[in-house]
Amino acid sequence: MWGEKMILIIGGAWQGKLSWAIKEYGLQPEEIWDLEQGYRAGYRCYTHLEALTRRGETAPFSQDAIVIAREIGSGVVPLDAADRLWRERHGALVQSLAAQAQRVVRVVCGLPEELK
Amino acid sequence: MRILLIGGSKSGKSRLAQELCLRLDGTRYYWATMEPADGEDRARIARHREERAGCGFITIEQGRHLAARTVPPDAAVLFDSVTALLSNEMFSSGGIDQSAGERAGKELLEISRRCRHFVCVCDDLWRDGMDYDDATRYYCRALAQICRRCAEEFDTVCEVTGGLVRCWKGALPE
Repeated sequence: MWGEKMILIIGGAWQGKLSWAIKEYGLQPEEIWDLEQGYRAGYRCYTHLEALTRRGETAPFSQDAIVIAREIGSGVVPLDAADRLWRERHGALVQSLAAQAQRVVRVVCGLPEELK
Repeated sequence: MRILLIGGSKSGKSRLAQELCLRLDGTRYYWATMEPADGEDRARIARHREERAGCGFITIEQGRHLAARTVPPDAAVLFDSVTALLSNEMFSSGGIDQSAGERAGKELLEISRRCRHFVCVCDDLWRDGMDYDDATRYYCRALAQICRRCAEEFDTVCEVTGGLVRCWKGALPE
C-alpha cells in the first residue's frame, strides 16, 4: 500500500483516527510522527495536523504519507483572532491535502466513512 | 437490536430515537437522564414528555448509577442521553470524578445487553476545535470513548442532522 498516493484521515477529537489508521495500514510505532513535536521528514504517518497549523507552519509531506487531521471547524467562530486564523489555515490545508489524496476517510466513533 | 444516534443539539436525535422505538417490538421504556438544574431544563423535560405522550413509554428517571435500575428482557429502551449520563456521573460530586467515563460506559453497555432493543442518543461535541479547560476536555474525551465502545458492539450507529440520518454502521429497523 505504501508508495501510492497520499491518504488523509479526518475526524473529531478522540474518535479513534490514529487507532483506525494503525489497524488499516499496519503501522508500526516507529512509522508514526506526532506533529506536536514539529515536522520531521521520513515518516510514513503524521498525526495531529492541527498542531502544525496552529503554529502557522506547513510541511512538505511526501506524496505517499498518511496524514491525520482533527476537524476543528464545526463550532462557533472563535472570539480570538489567532484562533480564527488557525481555523482558516487548517481548513485550507485539509482541503488541499484532500484534493491530492487518493483516499480520504472520516472516522467517527472508530468507524470509517469513505469520503474519497 | 442496539442503536447509537449521534448528532448536534436539536438535530432530531431524540425524535428519531422515539420513532425507532415505535418500530421495534417489546415493552417501551423511556430512560431519562437529565437532572434538572433550572427552569430551562424543566421546560426541555416537559417538551420531551409531551412528544412522548400517547406513545406508551414507561418512564424511568435515573441520571446516574444506572446499575441501580433493571428493565425486563423484553424491554425496548430509549436512553436519552449518554451526554447527560456522563455529565451527572463526572461532575455531581462537586469535583471531577476521573473514573466516571469507565464506570458509566460499563453500566450503559451492561444495561443495553440485557434489553431486547436499546436506542441511545449522544451529542456530537468533538468537531469544534475549541480549547477547553481540563475538566471539559476530560469530559469530551470520556464521552468519545463511551461512544466508541458502544459503536464496537452495537448493530447500528448513525449521525442525525436536521432530522435526517446517515448510517455509519448497520441499518435502521424497517
